This record gives sequence, structure tokens and C-alpha cells, in this order.
Amino acid sequence: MLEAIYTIISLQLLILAIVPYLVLRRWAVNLLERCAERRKHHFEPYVLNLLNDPTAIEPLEHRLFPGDRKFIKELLLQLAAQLKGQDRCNMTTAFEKIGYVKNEMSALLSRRWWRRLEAAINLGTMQSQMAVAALIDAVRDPVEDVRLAAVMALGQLNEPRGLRLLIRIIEEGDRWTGSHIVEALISMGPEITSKIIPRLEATTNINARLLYVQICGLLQITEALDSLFLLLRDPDKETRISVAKTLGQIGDVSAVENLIISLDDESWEARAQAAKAIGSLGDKQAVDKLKRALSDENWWVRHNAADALYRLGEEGIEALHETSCSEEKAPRATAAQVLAERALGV
Amino acid sequence: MARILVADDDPLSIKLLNFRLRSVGHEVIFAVNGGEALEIATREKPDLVLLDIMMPVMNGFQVLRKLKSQEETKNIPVLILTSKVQEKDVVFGLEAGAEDYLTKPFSFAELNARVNRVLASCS
Repeated sequence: MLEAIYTIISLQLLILAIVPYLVLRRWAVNLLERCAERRKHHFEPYVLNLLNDPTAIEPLEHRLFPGDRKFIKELLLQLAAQLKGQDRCNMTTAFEKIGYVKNEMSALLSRRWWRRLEAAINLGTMQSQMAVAALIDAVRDPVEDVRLAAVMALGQLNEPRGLRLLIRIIEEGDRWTGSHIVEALISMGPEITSKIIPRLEATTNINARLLYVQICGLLQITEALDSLFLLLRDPDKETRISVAKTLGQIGDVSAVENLIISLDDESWEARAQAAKAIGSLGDKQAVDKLKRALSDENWWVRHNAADALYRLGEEGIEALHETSCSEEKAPRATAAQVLAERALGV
Repeated sequence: MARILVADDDPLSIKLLNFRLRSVGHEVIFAVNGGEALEIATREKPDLVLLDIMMPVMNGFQVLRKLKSQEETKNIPVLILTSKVQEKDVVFGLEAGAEDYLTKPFSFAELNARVNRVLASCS
């Protein structure tokens, strides 16, 4: 009995202790955040002034409170990410003179992988040539994310060795790594992608080729159409599927003729993707071929063909109505389904 | 020099544009969301609007359409600010009536050139 009472009292005291602790902790965190914002606000004019004079670093080096260097670095990195050209070069000079580049280079040797990752990412933003050798070493890091960040940083530095390493990683990596690389490359802008794309186009490696096709679609590169038409006949099924999707994304009507041929592809995924792409390109010359695709053995192909016909407008919808009265069960059902879906606004 | 309204929800972006535009003698007013941008543009009638696309309350396209449909603001030139992954929005913005665009990240030289060109063509 006594034990139960002691237990209850202990629990209540614990709760009484936890609640004020949580409240005080929240208050302290808010206070620290407000102080951090105030200190950042204090340094903003000096950081902006670096755009005019990257050597005017004296206010950012002396009479600093603990933690100020971290705020200044964050401000500089945020600012650098928004700039290019001479302004960006000025920021790089500032990073070097204040010593942040050396700090991040040292951090590339940290025992904590997340610190090494952060350092690689920051060095990419800082774009200092001083860091090239350290980043090349970091490409051999045991952690994949760090290796990738180091390679991306070398790409941002326009370092030719970095681009070669990037191509190698793409060729050796899996599709998941490749997707990360595509996202990162595109976020780095046309200056980087314009260097990578010709190299990817020239390779015979399947992973690299798929990335090339993916980037062409995401960036809607019409100049790549001729090479994509050739890849539409590639022996690799994944390549043909990816190309059909990309041609739809690029949105050039001249691709329809080639996509129509793909409606006879041996792979149902390629046929389905071709039908979908034709629908998004909106060329009525495909109506007859799409109508024939309604008799495809695969449901996805039939559905995509029906959907494409609907998107082609009056002629396509008329074809769907005709097919919905057909004697063949599968095309009739698919045409009726798509007409019903569209009528319901699905 | 000109009176320029900068509409962007990123405080650092506003400070950067403010710093650069003031350094060449322009007067800068700013808005942090689409609704505020429309209200200030209608009230202050700036010489130029620098309009970010992704903003709360109203996005840049909605603000642009409103500006171009209102009698009192339809002649105010608009320069849209777009990030590099939204370049397709450039076409949409130009078709909606924007005079030019600027892609982030940008250099001051490019910003200056585009602002001057738009101001000159509309003066």
C-alpha cells in the first residue's frame, strides 16, 4: 500500500518537474532563435557590402560573439546561392579571406560523416578552387552521400576532373543514385548541365544514357530530338520507354511520327508510353493508329491510347464513340471507360 | 532614377535586390506576398515591378494577371523573377503580359541591364 502511494507521489512529482522543464526549454529555444536572428540581422549590411568590396571583411572577423561565425557563414552561403557572375566570385573571395574555405576543407576529414557531407555541400556553394584537391580526395569517402556531394561540388567548380568523376559514378551507380544526380544537376543550372549532357550523350553506358534521356525531358531540350529518335529504336527496353516519355515532355509535335512507330514496339510499356506521349503532343495524324492501339493485348496500352484519343479532340472522341459500339470486347470496354471517366471529370 | 516594387517572400532576396537597386540610385519599395504586392502596386504605381512567382496569398502569375487587367496598373512594366527549375513559367509569364524575366541566381550586371532595358522601353 505504502509502495503504491510512493509510486503515485513520485509520478506526480515527475510530471510536475517535466512540465516546467518543457516550458522553460521552449522559452530558451525561442530566445536563442531570436538572438540568432538579431545577430544575423546585425551582420547583413556587412555581408551585402562584400558584393562591392570582397576584401572588406574586417567587421566579420573581429569583435565577434560566440556563434557569430556560424551565422555569418550561413548568411554568406544563402547569399552566394542567389548570385552568379562577378557577384559570386566576390563571395568566393570573401569565403577564402575569412577562412571558411579552409574550415570546410578541414571538416572534410571529420569523423562524423554528416559533417563531411555538410562540408562538401558548402564547398560546392563556396566555389573556391582551393578546395579542389580536398574534394577529389572526398570522392573516395566511404559514405556514398559524401562521395556524391563531393562530385557535385566539383561540378559546381567547373572542374573537369569532377565532371569525369561524375560520369564515372553515373555509369557505375544504380538508378536511385542516378535520380539523385539528375535532381542535383538540374538544380545546378544550365552552366553545369550544358557540360554534362554532351558527355552523357556520347557514352554507351545504359545508366548514363538513361540519365541523358531523363535530363532532356526535364529540361525540354529540343536540340536532342534527333538523338532521341535514334534511341527510340534502342535494343534496351528501358531506354525506349524513357525516350517515349521524354518526347512527350519535350512537347515537339515533330516527334509524333516516330512515336506512332513505337505503338508497334514489342514492349507493352514502350507502347503505352508512346500512346501517352502522342496524347500530350496533340497531333491528329495519329488518330487512326491510336484507334488500332485500342485493340492492343495490354490494358495499359489500350487505356493510354483511348486517353490520347480523347485529348486529340473532336476526331479522337468520335473514334472513341465508334469503338464503344464495336463488337470487340476489350476495345469497346476501354473506349467506354475513358469516355465515362472524362464525362465525370476524372 | 526609378521607383521599383520588389515582390518576393524571401527576405534575403529582397535585401539583396534592395541593396543592388539602391546602389545605382533606384528607390525600392517591397512586398512579401502577392496580396501585398497588388495592393502596393495599385496604391503607389511604381515605375517597375520585380515579381517573384512563388509567393503566399497570391502567386506571381495571379498578381500579374490582376495588374494587367486593372486600368490603373496595366501599363506598369513587370519583370518576373523565376528560379532555374521553373523556366517553363517564363513563357507563361511573358504570355500573361510580363515585359521580361530574370532567372535566379542572377548577376548584378544582368539585373541592371534588364531593369534599364524595361524602363527605357516603357518610358
